[in-house]
Amino acid sequence: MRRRSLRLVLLSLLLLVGSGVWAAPPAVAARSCESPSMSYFEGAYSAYVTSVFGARGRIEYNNPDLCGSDVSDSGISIAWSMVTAHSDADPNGLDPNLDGWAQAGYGQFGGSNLAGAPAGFHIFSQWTRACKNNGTCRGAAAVVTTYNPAPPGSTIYSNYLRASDQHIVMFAASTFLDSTSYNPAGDWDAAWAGQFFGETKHLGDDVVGVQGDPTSFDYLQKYASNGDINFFVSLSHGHSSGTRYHYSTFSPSVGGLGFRIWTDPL
Amino acid sequence: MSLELDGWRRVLHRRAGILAAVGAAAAVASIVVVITLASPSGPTNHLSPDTPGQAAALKIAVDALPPPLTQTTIQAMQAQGTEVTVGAAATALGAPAVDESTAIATAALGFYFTQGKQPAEVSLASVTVTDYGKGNPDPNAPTDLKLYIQDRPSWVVVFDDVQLPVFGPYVPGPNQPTNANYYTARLFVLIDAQTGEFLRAESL
Repeated sequence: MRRRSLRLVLLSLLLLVGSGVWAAPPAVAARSCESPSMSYFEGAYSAYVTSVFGARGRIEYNNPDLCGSDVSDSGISIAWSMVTAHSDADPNGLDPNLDGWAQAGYGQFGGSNLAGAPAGFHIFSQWTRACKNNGTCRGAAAVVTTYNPAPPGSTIYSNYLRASDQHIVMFAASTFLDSTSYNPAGDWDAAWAGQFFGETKHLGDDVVGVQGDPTSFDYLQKYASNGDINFFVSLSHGHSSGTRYHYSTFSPSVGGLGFRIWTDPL
Repeated sequence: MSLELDGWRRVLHRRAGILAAVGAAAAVASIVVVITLASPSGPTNHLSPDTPGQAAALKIAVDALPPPLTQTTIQAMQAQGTEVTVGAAATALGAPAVDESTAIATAALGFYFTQGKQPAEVSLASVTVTDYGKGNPDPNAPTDLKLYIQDRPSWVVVFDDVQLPVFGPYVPGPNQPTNANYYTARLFVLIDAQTGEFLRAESL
């Protein structure tokens, strides 16, 4: 009798599991970090024009989930603003490897749960050295990156030509991150663009933001030659993934243009 | 949190002695130090299943004690705005509260691209970073920089041949996504010698 009751209980449990009434709590899959890694973008960019001497944007701070686990992450998810130009030797941008840039933002570059270690979140800056004669602006001798302690929250990331020495400086709010070691005139084409993106290196990485809490970009502004700062009035949507990452625009209360990005949960 | 690194140097030396006794003097001891980690301290992760108190383990292979910074490294750092003073001037600042092995572990665990890597050079130093601090972001005003890291007793941990990600601009057009680029560079990591806090890292 007792054995029969036990069988009934087990059978009931099996039926519940099979019908989905009683299911294990959903787990966030540890998505794989596929190889080779690619660069996936979701965000907005301006046209290349000679009236742009810098760009800045406020980016909300969110925590992405990366491929692998959150302990052993080997993916990357970043959000940034940038000023960029084609090479003076390639003003039409036929070879993207010759583009120069200066950018600032934040991202996750490692596990977030490593006690005793900086928690994988950093403000970063990256810029290219004078490189038009090197054949590429993406090699070891061409790129400088700094990593700094994590941002406290939503932050304006700025990159602009400093009048005093004609170098491009990179800021996170009022924190000076770095500056280029040269005046880009003669190395960069005179037409510059502003860009604002979330970026990953694997589809298994999330861009910052989820559908219920997307990541907002606003204060999307450009610098004029005299230092005046104005809103971009036109930006184009740029993206690399058809379904995984998402984008929508909104009208920020601060004025100008704004957009949000997020990742679909798997 | 517990970092089970105690005595790893002693063990390392003992292992090297055994190898020497069996005629493998050229071999370098390889020891795996298991660092037990707990108590996540990062911001809330919207998607992660991790919960407070979750423990994890990482392994760091320690092959040899890294040598101190070379003049070449010091000069390269200085060329990029980080001034490093080693030797008597650094030790005059007092004994560090954070030992070298802890600083190495902190530096190595901070990024996925340094995890498991051996540092090429490590020194206790007095460090000033001349291009990092609080400044005026007005393009028409002097930057008026107030340095965040000035004469700071720090561990300088240098990694060679690190595969660092290239970010760079989005290129409109049909060729999306693009291949991810990486560049191989030296990376120095600054760890506060008194608090163990990560201060800054930069590629050379």
